[in-house]
Amino acid sequence: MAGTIPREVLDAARVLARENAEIEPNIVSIYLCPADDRVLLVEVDPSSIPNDGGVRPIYFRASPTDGLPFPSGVAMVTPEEFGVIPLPQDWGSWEDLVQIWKRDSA
Amino acid sequence: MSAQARNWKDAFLRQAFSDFQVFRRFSEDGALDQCHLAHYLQMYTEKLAKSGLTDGSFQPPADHYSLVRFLRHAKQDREMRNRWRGTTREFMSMIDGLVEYASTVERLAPSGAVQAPNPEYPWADMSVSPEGRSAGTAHVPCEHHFEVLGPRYAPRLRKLLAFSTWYFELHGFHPTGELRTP
Repeated sequence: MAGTIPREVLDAARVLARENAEIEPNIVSIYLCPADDRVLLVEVDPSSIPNDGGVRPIYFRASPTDGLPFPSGVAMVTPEEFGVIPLPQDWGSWEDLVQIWKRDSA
Repeated sequence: MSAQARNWKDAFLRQAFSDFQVFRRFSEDGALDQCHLAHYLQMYTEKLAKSGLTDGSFQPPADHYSLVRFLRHAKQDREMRNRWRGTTREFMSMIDGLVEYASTVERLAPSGAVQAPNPEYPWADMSVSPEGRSAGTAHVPCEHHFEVLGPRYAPRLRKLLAFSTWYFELHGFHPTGELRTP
């Protein structure tokens, strides 16, 4: 599945995933929702506050000076929510997600 | 809404929620300069914190450093812990995970002679030139990139917003909609 994601998007997603995992040490794994022109991440964090009804991302503009040339959306879920609660409509399905980062101890 | 007699706790929470709604409204406007979102993030969290730090009988102190104090207080608050949907340990862990970011948000507020990035007033770059003089270049909030609102800090921002939403809902305020940062 990762093969269908543009290389530039995948590279930017991996950079953002590493930064997010560094900022939040409770994150255990991070998944990328395939898209051609934006970076959409689902981050699994057992200490995250559960979503209300469905996955609720925060969206960001592209920020080339920060090394992120694409708009992005970052969502956080608990392990119990992963694969269960609805993703945003334009994010596809849970089966489409590609794991791009995992904490060594996870 | 008509004016109602309120104690200080309720008054600060009501205004915090109003600021939070502006923050959310601004977050949907991709054309808006980021400083305004940063400004309302700092303002709503400060008022929410002040509400949490008074029992209603006294006016909270007029400083900008309430949020971290409030989070530390929250850890000791038995009622909040009991109403949290997870375990006490998870509640403590969630609060601990917010303190550092909360401190960064607190520092968005301008203070004294403004010489640091803030969302309200131009500030001077006090870096020293090779000749030993202060450069004194003026910077403008509306042209500044506030990293605290960037995707790098998304996990912490999301946690702070989720905690705020939970706290507001606990007190009968219900925000809606999704969040975008300019």
